[in-house]
Amino acid sequence: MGIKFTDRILDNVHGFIEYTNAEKAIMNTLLFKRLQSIKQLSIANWIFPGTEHTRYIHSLGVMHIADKIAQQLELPHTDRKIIRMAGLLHDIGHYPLSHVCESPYKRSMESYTENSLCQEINRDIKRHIDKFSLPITKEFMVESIEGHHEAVGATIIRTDQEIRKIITDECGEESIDIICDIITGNVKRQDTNPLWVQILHSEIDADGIDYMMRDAAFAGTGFGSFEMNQLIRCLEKRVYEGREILCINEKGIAAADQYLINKFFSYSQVVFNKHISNLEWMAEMIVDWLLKQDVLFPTKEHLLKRWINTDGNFDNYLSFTDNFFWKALDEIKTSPTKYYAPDYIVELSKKLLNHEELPFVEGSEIRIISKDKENIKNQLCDSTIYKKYVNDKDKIILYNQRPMTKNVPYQDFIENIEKNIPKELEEDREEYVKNKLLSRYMEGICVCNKSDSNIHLLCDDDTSLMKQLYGIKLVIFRSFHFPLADKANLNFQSI
Amino acid sequence: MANKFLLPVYKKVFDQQFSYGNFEDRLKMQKMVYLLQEEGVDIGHYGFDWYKHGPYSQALLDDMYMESGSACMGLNYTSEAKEGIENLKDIFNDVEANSIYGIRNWTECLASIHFLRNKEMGSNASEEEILQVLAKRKPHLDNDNLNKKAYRLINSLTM
Repeated sequence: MGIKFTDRILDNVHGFIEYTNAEKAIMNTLLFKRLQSIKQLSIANWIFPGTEHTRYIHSLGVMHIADKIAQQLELPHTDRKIIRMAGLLHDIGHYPLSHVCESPYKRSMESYTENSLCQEINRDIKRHIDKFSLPITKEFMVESIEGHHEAVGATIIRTDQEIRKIITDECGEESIDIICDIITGNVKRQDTNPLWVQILHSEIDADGIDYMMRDAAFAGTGFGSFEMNQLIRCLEKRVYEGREILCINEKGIAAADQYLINKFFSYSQVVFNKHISNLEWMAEMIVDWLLKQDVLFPTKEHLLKRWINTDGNFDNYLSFTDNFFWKALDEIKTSPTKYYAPDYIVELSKKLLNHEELPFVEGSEIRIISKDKENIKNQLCDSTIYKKYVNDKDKIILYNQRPMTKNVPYQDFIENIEKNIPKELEEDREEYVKNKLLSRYMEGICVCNKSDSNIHLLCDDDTSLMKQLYGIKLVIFRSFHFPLADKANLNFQSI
Repeated sequence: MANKFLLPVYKKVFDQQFSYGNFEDRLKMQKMVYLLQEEGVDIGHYGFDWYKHGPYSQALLDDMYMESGSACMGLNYTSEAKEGIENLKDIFNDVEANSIYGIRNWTECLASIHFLRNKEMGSNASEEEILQVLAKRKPHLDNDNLNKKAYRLINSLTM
């Protein structure tokens, strides 16, 4: 028996999306409906007014695309049910304003000192620049850690009895662990086929395909369009070191190139937009302060242990949506003394509520696209913006970066890995190299030929543009006025 | 300055400076960062795989190398981070465990149990099954009572 769809919903990106009774039951839970109150692109709608779409419709889109991939791979319907469920639930642990509020939860180790705030923020820029010296990425398929929205989602799925029961009835008890592995990107458990994980966690996954198409469609840009049907039609599976790998055949190479290039543009043109970066930074700073003071926003421990691991009482968590953020700002604006909020937090809150942003330091934008890491590093370090503002008390430097692809050709990769093998792993050398190659193939876009069982990455294929474009990185530096001593008189700019 | 937290946190947990040239220090750093990450302390985002000595991250080793020789800077820890670090320190400094296994094997034991329980084996795996796998893979961790204690402590440390 196949999958029995019982209803459908109209989506303006993919058309009708069909769903089963079990999926409908998930969609009807309050925990899932919560996603209707979390915008996919936080406050990007202030700049691209069409981007009003939410994590709710994105989740349905990911389920739809994940299933298209599963069908193309001719997976049995029992596997498809699990993959669809993982797609549907992959964002259930998302934070208010999506990545904006998640970001402070991922750097909650250190507090800023108010009187040297700009300097401390700018000093961290040096860390990013120094990272360019690291030869190549050696870690792939890195699992989400505690506090990441995917790990939060896995905790919810394991904890909420209603969701657990729906999944267990539909896909079996053992599918709970598998769905959590797919969501968090864990390929280490033998029971979880890494192919399923790759459908949601790789360079060409259902999540990326949906958000790229959806963000572009709602923003009104053309950067999200690519030959999706051709790409999916060309997906195949192969086996490497006993584990299944998601691949494209030769006919899909152009579509895969187009996908990666347009994804690169969607970051450079929409996600890293000057105004959006500025506004999101302001919001992040407020949340960072609130959660470190344990004021209005829950600390990570509070969120995980009291709001989620609560034997079914999710009342607090259900209100943890975009509106939670705006209400917190309003509280700060109305009663700053109640929360001992420093002036800069009060000011940032007021300004965001008034749709105002930090003033841009004219002429301070540096935008570099290059393959040469040393060249990027030198350009940044030699730039006026870096030299002038890195120790500035009144200006912050904001930094964005995006690689075209994380992968490098086999020869470069293997030489680097073998040359730098740590002494303590000498005895494990063979196992170590095998694991590195395996995870590299799982995360990257693999190409397979019809004639044999060999696979290689796109950047090793003579007919792929990635053979020329791998290693390209976009880096953006921008500076904004943020005088802590005289914030009230700072001339914020209206959006 | 690839990860400014590594040296000061290591010093806080082990009450000694980190030395990159010392194998035991590198192993202790690996296990410390792995468990802090799993505890929810934002010391980095490293991908750990299983090798001879348990969970191990190459990117973390690269960062240790980049940090080696840097001054151990003071940090203004959040209360949540402080608590997480103190909890781990208490477990690492368990007197009985250190006297039997020594600090190197004890940190390896703790991190390995966590990895087996949370990454490799299903949520239905029992304590007994997990400790059996540990004993098979790591015959040098041969004290059953201590391994059970490690399992309990890992349970209390992470969810």
